[in-house]
Amino acid sequence: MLGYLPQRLGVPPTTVLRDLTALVAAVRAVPLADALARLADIGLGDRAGATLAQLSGGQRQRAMLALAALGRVEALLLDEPSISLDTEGAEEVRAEIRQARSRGTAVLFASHHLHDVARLADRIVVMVDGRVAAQGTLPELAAAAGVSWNEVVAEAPIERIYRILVARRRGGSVAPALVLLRGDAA
Amino acid sequence: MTARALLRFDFAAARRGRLVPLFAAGFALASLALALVGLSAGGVVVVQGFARTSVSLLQLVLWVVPLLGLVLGAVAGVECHELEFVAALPLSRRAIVVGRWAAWVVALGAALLVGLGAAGLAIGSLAGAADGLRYLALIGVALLLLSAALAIGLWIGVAVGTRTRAVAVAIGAWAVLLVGTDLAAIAALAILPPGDAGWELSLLLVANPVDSARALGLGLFRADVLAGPTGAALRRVLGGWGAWALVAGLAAWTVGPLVLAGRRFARRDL
Repeated sequence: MLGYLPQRLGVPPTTVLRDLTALVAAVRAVPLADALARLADIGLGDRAGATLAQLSGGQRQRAMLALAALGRVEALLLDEPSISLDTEGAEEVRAEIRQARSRGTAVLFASHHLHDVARLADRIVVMVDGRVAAQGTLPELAAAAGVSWNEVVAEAPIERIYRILVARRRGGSVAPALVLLRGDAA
Repeated sequence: MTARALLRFDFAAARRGRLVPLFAAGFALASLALALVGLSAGGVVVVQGFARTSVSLLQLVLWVVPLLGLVLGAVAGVECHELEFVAALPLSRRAIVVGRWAAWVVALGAALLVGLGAAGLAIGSLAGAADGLRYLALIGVALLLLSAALAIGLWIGVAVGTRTRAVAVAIGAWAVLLVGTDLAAIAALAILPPGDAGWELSLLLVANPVDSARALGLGLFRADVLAGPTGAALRRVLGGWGAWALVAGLAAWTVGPLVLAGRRFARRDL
């Protein structure tokens, strides 16, 4: 089963979190109590009666991610999961992605946040104008871009690698990077 | 279970706003006012109170129900495009459209029952229970009209895609259904040779859900007595299978637009 998190909210902001949870639970054949317990796990147990508009950006995205991954989801497709979130919210979403991955869920996400890509991705696909410009692991992409760095002492210069690869394909324009995270089940 | 969950989800959304209770209260007040005015007019409280006031109430139903149904259906249809997350769940797009329609039928239908029910109680207690069953049938006609108007509105909303345009088209459709086809009927009468317009006008009656509801509602309360020669002509049309053809027409105006809305939404890239 595939779980999907769209870039925009994907439901009217007046939707009550509990109603949406009940719908996803019914569709995915998960007992409602388990679904609500999942909300409690991510710290939103007392916010189930709130509308999505009443949640903070980070809470909303965490809730939607948890619902997208609810049940026996083998693969998650995420469109810009950390866009327009503050630092804390983005970190919460990254933690959710790591958790999904640790449960064995394959995660495919599109992101403009290159540091998320560097931290989370096993395999990266760089897209330019809808076409694949480069793909591989981060060290492979670095090698392809002719960038060397010491993995032990420094963070990957992902922005530099990205810029070189995009410029090589078609200079100037910024395109989202597609990222595949491999869970145990993938 | 999934269908029930979808209906509950959409129903929760439908009743969350203030619109449904406002509609219920407004409709109840207007119905009660019409009922009381109708009862006090002409000294017919005892003999024909239910019938006369019901015909007045029918006019209220014919003006308000299609307008609300079309506009709210259009908004609900536009909102289908915001359901990217729900559409990604293992649910058919048609089920999503039907779920929204059903939720609004339940929410507005309940409000309609409150309004017409309050008026019915007032009429029954002041003028007696004569024609009470016909009055219940009138409520049934109002619900059929609501169902058709919501389905047409939903189709408009899904097809048009933006809220402002959808509402504008819905209001335009309301004007056409309420007045436009009557003007067409008058034009047809002027053009067609005398005595030849019978089946064309009957077709026009079935083709317009508002006219179908009007004819059914008038027929319920012996329109020939109340409306003179016009009512007598109507009674001729409604004789035999005529009334069932009108009911079938109203049902078709629900099913047809829903099928079209489902198809359109299924093909749409969100």
